[in-house]
Amino acid sequence: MRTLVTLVKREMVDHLAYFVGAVILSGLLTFGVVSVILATGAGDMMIVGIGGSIPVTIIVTVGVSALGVAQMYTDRTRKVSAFLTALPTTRRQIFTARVLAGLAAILIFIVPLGVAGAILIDMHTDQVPLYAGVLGDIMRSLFLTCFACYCLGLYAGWNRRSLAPTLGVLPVALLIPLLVIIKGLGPDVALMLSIFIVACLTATWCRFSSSSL
Amino acid sequence: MPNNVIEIDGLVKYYEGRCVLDGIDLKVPRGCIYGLLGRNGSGKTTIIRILLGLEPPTRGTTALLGQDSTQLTAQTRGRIGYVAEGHHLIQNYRVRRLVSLCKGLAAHWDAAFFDHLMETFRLPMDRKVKDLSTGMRAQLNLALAMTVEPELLVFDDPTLGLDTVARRQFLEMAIDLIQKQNRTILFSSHILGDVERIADRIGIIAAGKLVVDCELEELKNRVKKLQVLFPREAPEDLYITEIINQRTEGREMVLTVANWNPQKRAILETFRPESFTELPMRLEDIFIECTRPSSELVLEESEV
Repeated sequence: MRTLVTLVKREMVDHLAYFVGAVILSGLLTFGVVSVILATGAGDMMIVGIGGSIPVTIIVTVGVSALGVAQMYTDRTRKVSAFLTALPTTRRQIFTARVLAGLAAILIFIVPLGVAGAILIDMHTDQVPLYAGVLGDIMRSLFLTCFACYCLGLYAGWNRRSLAPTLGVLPVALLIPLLVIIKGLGPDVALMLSIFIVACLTATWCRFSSSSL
Repeated sequence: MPNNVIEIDGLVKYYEGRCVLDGIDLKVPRGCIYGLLGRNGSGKTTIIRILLGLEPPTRGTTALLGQDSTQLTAQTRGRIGYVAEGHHLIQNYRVRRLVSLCKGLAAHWDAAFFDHLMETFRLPMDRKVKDLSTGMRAQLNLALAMTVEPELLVFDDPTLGLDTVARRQFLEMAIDLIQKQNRTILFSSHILGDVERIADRIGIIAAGKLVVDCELEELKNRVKKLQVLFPREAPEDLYITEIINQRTEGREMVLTVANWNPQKRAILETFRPESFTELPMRLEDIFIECTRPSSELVLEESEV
């Protein structure tokens, strides 16, 4: 457990910019949504949501994918895992810590938004025609989308040819939120994203665990 | 507790279709200081990387401290100290952070000993690893490897790139540390003087094979260089087996023979040489003879 905590901490400090970015973006979004709703009323909530979601989606998608890419790419080029596995750690622990750090970054971004959303919905529930559990659906979809993009970044980042093919994953990652936009927030999308996440993580683990460090 | 700390069985490694290691078998018993020798690109580093689980083997098995290299647990890794060729520490970290990371992951950490080493080496804790000189990086790597009190120390060409003074300092420090505690050491290098000072057992890799695997003294006893003077022209063939190298110039013949014994001496005497003198051989001379492309020497303990 101590090893895992040390490794997660290392990942977070090494990629501090992403965590700071997640905090700032989450704070700005929360502040923006709360300010607009308090200023204009909850009736405009949907307009604000739809208008703001496009740039935010792009930023978040690119951000979490880039985090996955950065974690794996810098590991490979700086031979971080080669050094770490010479210490009392295993590749499994390194990989687990990496994914946990990625999850932490996503949660840092999502949780404040979820809390703010819950409070706002509770305050204005009579003015907005929302079904019960809408916030849960939105948060689940947001989490799965972010995590799927992150996992895609992890998968693409484990190469040492050049940065170009690695960066090429970013436009591909944008297709994931499109799936949610087209298909909605239902359980079928959640299932598809979950399968995608498991496939990405399994493929990345297979590459990471079997390649030379 | 297994008697052999290192076990390699039928190890084969191909890189892009090229055979780098061709059926290596090796056992290193507990407490042994094993010098692994070979020319550049002979596969020394590949063996070490496979042993540590950093590289997958093509065929064969390797084990460290009784555990398969591909399945080494964190606990087992904690019993191994590794000083890598080129000292690939995390370059963009400051020394302080790297030390803190190693301390956080180590199963055992002798803080007093580490502080003593840092004081001896005078390493700047606030400088980034990439800004350290090669000698300082080597010292830092050695300090990190030794402080975890490892049962097995693996040195992969640790003096590569160091100047003479830094190399001497590093070796003296390493010898001092090694002698204090009875531990198993695998020391790979192509600087033979370094190995000769430290090792009590030698392995030589040539053309992907382990052509020599025996004790250092035994190796010196078994490989002989002879200067033979014949009354007339030296014969073309002496019909002696295991001749590693042979050079003829008129009446004089200089030959290097493995496993020199009375039978071989008797065969040589049938050619009625005028005289024959044993020339002294250092490890370096033996190494050069063993790693010649034409050499077919295989010296293993089983032959004794």
